[in-house]
Amino acid sequence: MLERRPPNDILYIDLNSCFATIEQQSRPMLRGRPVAITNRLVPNSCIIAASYEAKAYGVKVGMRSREASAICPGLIYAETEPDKFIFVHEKLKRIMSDYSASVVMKSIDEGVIDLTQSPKHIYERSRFELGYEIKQRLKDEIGCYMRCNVGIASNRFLAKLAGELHKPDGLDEITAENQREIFATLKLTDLPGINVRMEARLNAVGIMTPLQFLDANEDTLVKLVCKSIDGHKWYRRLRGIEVDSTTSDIKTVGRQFVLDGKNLSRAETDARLVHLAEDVGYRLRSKQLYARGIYAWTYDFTRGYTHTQLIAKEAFNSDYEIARLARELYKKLPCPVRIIGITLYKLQPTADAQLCFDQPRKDHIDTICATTDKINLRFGARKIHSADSFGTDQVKCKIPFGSTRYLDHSIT
Amino acid sequence: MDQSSSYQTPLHEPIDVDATFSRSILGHCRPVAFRTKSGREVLISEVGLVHPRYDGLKTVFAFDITDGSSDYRITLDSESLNWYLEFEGDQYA
Repeated sequence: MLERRPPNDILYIDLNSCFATIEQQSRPMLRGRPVAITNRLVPNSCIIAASYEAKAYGVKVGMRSREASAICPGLIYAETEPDKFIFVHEKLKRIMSDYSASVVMKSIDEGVIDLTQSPKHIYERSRFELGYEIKQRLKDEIGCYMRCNVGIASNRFLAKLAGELHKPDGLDEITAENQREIFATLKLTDLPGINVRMEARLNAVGIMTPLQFLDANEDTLVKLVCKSIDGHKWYRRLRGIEVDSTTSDIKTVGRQFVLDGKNLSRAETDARLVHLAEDVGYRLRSKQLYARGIYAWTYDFTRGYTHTQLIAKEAFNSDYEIARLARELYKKLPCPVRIIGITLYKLQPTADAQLCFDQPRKDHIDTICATTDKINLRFGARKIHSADSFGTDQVKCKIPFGSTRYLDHSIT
Repeated sequence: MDQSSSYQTPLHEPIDVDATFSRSILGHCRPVAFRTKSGREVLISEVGLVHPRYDGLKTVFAFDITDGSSDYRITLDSESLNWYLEFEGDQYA
């Protein structure tokens, strides 16, 4: 039997055009102007955020700057500044944490407040009042140009959908009473989690609109659409029952880099690879983890995606070992390439207990690594690093989309 | 790119700053005006964003400000208590 729909205790907070708005907040001369944010100010770079003024001209995330400039004359480009974005993320998180003990940041610019974990004097307040207060606090505590969408509902899915109804600066609630009315105005792909492929699967069984999706019976969703437990989840999700509150452990740690030149030699690419290995190693050690598997991949200019991987005999987490294994793998991959990436997998919380023949050397490497981390934490990122990654400052850390696990100021 | 941000060439020029210190939700220190080595004086009309930048255990506070015609970034080194002009933005008239 289906559980009862819980009360509207979920608030979904989403900053509007986050990176562009922060840039407009920090540089008042950019306000009211079309602004595009890119990771690097180079010709034909990829736009990762656009201001509402730029969006009005049709500039979209993922668009190349050449194309964007053609449709939006006078478009102003700004490079990402992770420090600034992380500061706003932390401020937002602090504001949200004042309302509940249960706050989950879904990404750098959005998060969920679960009011069931709130103190009584907050829980009893009107949800709209809380929403308006958060909006005002964002302006008071970060800056007057900051805006956010607030969505209120009984689960994360509907709260996110509510937050997306009136952008920018919206505040909406989806209840059991108004849900059908709201769904009647939407397309399937307006629902969070429904992409064109999922839409095609729904269309194949005659579900063409969100209302038909809502009215579909559980068996249809399980047996014909999702063909898995996901069908049960969708059936509950659409009815305001929480199915997305689970948290997952870290399964992989990785980084990628779009190379800063078309004709980099193998040695130059290797230097950037060692830099990536050092970043990935620091992330791994910051979570007190070891890895057994390493996966190296590239996008080259002609053949597209190539990858290779190996499982090491012993768990590792030193920069030296990660760089050594990564270089070994990259010898098998083509060169020159456009993008390089390393991903560590088969993570475990401890090193292998079994001593190896090479133990003194292994201990020596681990000691060097731990000392390097201490020095960098005290004096700043990459104050000391391998000579093999010398001159690769361009491989600087960018904004991590998705996970917010590594958003702390000591990141390399 | 047709037009791009001019926050590209770091200046790191030592400057003199007039600032007020008060209890404020946006931060205690608010720069009011600054003077460059060449004697140019800039009156700050708005502080856009104040954010910390960490260099190991050292914190540098970055103030993104405007005088109404240009954007600037000035920084306060929390160890040496020196102010620097880091960047000067384009005039988008």
